Amino acid sequence: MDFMQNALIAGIILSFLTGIISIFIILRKLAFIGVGISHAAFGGVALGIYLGINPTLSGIVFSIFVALAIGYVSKRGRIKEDTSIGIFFTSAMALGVILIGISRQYNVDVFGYLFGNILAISRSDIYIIAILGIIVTAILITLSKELLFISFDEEVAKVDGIPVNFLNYLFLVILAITVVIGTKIIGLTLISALLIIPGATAIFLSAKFFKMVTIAITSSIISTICGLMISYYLNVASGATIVLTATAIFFLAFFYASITEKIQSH
Amino acid sequence: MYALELENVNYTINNVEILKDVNLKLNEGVFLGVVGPNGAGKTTFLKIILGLLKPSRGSVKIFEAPAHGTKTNIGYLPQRKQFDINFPATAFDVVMMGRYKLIGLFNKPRQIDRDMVIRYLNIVGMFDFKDTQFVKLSGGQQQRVLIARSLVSEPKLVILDEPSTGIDVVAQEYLYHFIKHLKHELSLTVIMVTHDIGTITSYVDEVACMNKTIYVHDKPEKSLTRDILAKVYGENINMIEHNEFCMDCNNFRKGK
Repeated sequence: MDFMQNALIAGIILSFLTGIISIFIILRKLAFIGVGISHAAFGGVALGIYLGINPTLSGIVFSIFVALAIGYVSKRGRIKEDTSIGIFFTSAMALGVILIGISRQYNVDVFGYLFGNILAISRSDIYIIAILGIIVTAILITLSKELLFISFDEEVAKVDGIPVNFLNYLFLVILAITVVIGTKIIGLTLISALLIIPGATAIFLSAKFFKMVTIAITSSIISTICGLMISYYLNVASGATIVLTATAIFFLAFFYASITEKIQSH
Repeated sequence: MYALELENVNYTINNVEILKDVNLKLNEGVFLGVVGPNGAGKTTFLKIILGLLKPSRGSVKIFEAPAHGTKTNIGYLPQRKQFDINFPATAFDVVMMGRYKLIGLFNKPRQIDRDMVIRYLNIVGMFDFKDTQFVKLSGGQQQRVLIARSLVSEPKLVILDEPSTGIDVVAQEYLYHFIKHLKHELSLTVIMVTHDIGTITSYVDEVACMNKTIYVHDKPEKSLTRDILAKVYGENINMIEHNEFCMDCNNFRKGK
C-alpha cells in the first residue's frame, strides 16, 4: 500500500497545481499548447533514457525549451501559435521515438511515462513534486492579478507596463514543469486532460475568479483520488481512470448548468 | 507645454509604408479627434504613441519625454473587442486592472486603490454595477467601465481608439459628451480616433485628418472642409450636415 500512499500524495499536489493552471489555460485559450507541451515532453524523457540521465529532469529541461521555442517562433515568425505548437510537438515526439529506438530500451518505463505508472512513484519523486508544486503555486498566486489582466486584455496590460512577454514565457515554463510533474501519475499523453477539464468544469459552475479556482482545484483533486482508487480496485491504468473521472465531473457540471439556465429563463 | 510631439514619424512593415512623415504638436488640455479612412494608419499612429510599436524613423515625445524607453502614464481605451462571455471579472475588478501599474508586481491592491476604483466608477456613473460581471453589461456600460479603467491611474493623456464602435447612435452621442465633460473635469489631454466625422465636430477642440500622414491639424471647422476630406477620403465623398434629427443627441451637444 506504500505505493498507493505515494501516488495519492503526488496526485493531490499535482491536482492542486493543475486546478489553478487550468483556469488560466481556459481563459487564455491555451488548451492546445497544453496538449503540445505534454506530448513534446516525450522527446525530453526519451533523451534522458538515451543519455542515461534522470528522465524527469531531462523532461523538464526539454519541455521548457520546447515551450519557450513555441512562444519565440510564434512571436518572431510569421506563423500563428497553433502552427508553431503543431511543428514542435510532432517533431519532439518524433525525436523521442528515434531516441527510444536507438537506445533499444523500449520497456515498461517508457510505457509508464506515456500513460502513467503509479508503482514508479518513489519518496524522492514526492519531494521533487512537493518542492516544485509549492514554488509554482506561490508564483501563480502572487502573479494571479497580472495573469488575469493579460487574459482579459493583453494589449492594455502591455501599455500599462505589465511585463507581458516575461509573464507569458513564465507561464509556459510553469506549464512545462507541471506536465513533467504529472508524468508518472497520469502520463504524458493524458496530462493535458487535467490542464483543461477542471477549468472547463469550473466555467459552468461560477462566474467569480476565486470560486472558479476553488472549483477547479476541488474537481481536479476528486478526479485524481477517485481515479486512483478505481484504477487500484479494477487494476486498470491510473491515468485513464483519472481522466475519465474528470470527464464525468465535467458532464455533471455541464448538465447542471444547462438545467439551471433553463429553470432561470422560465 | 506640448502633451504630444511627433516629428517626421515613419512606420514601415514588410516594405509597406503605413505612416509617412507624420508631424504633430498637441497642446496640453486639448481634445483631438483623429479621422481618416480605413487603412489610413490611425491605429498604428496610436500604437506608436503608446509605445506598442517603434517608429521606423522619427521621434515621439510625451510631455517632453521620449515615448520609448520612458515610463509614461497614459490612459488607453483600445478598439472594442468581443470579450469571453465567461470571463470572471466584475466591473470593479476591471477598473482595478487600471491600478495594477501603480500597485506593482507581487503586491495586493491597497485601500487607496479600492477608493480610487470606487471614485472612478462613480464618475462614469457605474457604481451601482460594480459587482456585476463585466461581460453581462451592455456595450455602452462596458465602454464606460473601460473608460474608468483608463482613467483610474490618473493619467494626463488619454487615448481612445474608436470608442463608439458597436454602440447605438444615442449612446454614441452620450459617450462623446461624457468624454468632453471628463476632459474638462479632470484637465485631460484626449486623443480620440473615430470614423464619426459628422458628429465629433461638436465635441473636439481640434481635428487631425489622416491618411498615412496628417494632412491638416486645426479647429474642426477649418479641418473638415469638402476639399480636405476629398483629399483624405478620395473624391467620392458626400458631406451630409449633422442636423437636429436626433433630439436626444442634440440635447447632449447643448449640454442639457
